[in-house]
Amino acid sequence: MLLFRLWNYIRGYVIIVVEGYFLEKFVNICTRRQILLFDISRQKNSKMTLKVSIKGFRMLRPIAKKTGCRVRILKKHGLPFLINRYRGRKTFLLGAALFVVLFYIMTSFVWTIEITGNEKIETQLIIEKLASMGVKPGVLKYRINSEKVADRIIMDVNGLSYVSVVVRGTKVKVEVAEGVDVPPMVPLSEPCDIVAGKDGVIKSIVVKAGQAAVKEGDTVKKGQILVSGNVPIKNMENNPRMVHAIGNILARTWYESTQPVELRVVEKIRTGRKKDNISLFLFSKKINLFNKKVSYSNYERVETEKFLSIGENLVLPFGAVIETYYENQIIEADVSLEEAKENAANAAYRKALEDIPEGAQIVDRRIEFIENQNGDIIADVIIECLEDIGVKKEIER
Amino acid sequence: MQKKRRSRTQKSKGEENKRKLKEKVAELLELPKEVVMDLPKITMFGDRNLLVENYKGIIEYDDNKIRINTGKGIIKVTGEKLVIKEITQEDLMIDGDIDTLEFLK
Repeated sequence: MLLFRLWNYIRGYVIIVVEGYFLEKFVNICTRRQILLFDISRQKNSKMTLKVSIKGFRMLRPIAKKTGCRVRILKKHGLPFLINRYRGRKTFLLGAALFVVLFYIMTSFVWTIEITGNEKIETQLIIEKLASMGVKPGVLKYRINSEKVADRIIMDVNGLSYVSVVVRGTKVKVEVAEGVDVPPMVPLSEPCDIVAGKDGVIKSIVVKAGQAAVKEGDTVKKGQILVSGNVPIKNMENNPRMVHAIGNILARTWYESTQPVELRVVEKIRTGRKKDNISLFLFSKKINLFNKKVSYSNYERVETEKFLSIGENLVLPFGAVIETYYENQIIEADVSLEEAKENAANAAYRKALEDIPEGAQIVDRRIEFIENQNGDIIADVIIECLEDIGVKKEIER
Repeated sequence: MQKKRRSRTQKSKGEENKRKLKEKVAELLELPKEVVMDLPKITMFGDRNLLVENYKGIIEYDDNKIRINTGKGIIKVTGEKLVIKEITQEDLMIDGDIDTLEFLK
């Protein structure tokens, strides 16, 4: 029904009043001549209003004459009449046309780049890589070959396992997934050794295939062979059997981290005074608007960008950047030795934890406070873990 | 006189047979009956809308009474504030508070 109305609006229609004594006849003749009438309502005995298309209205005159009815236009509706009204106004039409053209041109450029999914890899790095491939704000979006760009990014940026590039409106959406560095897999059919992935002391060694090269309690260095795929056969020392070594090697490993103990704690507190500097963004150019110098000696700068956009994806190249400067007050405070030690130990512990891989079991932790030559106290945290340190390595022949 | 009368009844009987044959054919071939047998197809949406397809013409139109000529005779619709929503050669849509729908035979 809405479509019907819209269609009628585009085609244009007139509301007319028909007066006469043979209104039924009038309607019948109209239908027979394929004139579409709608919303017919009887006003009085000899009068009715109805709607008819512009084309149909032109055909009404002879029918009205035939049935002795009088036809009068009550109202004109629709686009054709509207256009007619604006026919003389050239500048207006030109403006409207210009708007459409400009809008089209504006939306055929890339104005923003959105990168999601990266945790360790810097967004800036990906943006730079994209820019070197020609994907940056201000580029025609039809020139971008998303698949090619995605392929190049995944090749050029280390540590990405998945990249998708989608152009939506004026926005380029780059979705990435970071992969974990996986040591090269050795196919089961190839002979290999198991070597130590890191330093440690062997806790237990279970060999399923191959020849154990170390025993429990041995201290091993990184890269040292733990299980050899080279199995010597008696009386045939020159021609040993090569196997794909399989085994679980649990070792004690240590992770160490240090953090100086600081008795003075510097804390930043916002005083509540702030200053906003607004700049306009036009086609990726920044225009400063009445920017004053910041008089605060210590401040924090927070930048918020706001872009004019239609919906979520059609971002237009106009926007504002609001830089807010918050004045900071620096408060220095002394803390007790106990508290300082605890803070340093916690920080060192957190640092050490970052290095410990998943799957490692923490067995023991030790915290020591060492005083160095300068008189500073340093917290030293050592975490002992149990983990599988075996890494497969192909035997070179 | 007698002869004339007989011929009339014969004629109507012939028409009756023809109608039955048409109905049978329509049912057999699953053709729309309103087209084959020249019957009006009447659809009502509650008591607000009435759609008559395959009608012949309007006999009388008023805001509380509409008489429509169809292949099955005259249909009389009474109600209040009756408006012809749309009228084409085949379809006729009536809007309003419909009270009765009558076949005048």
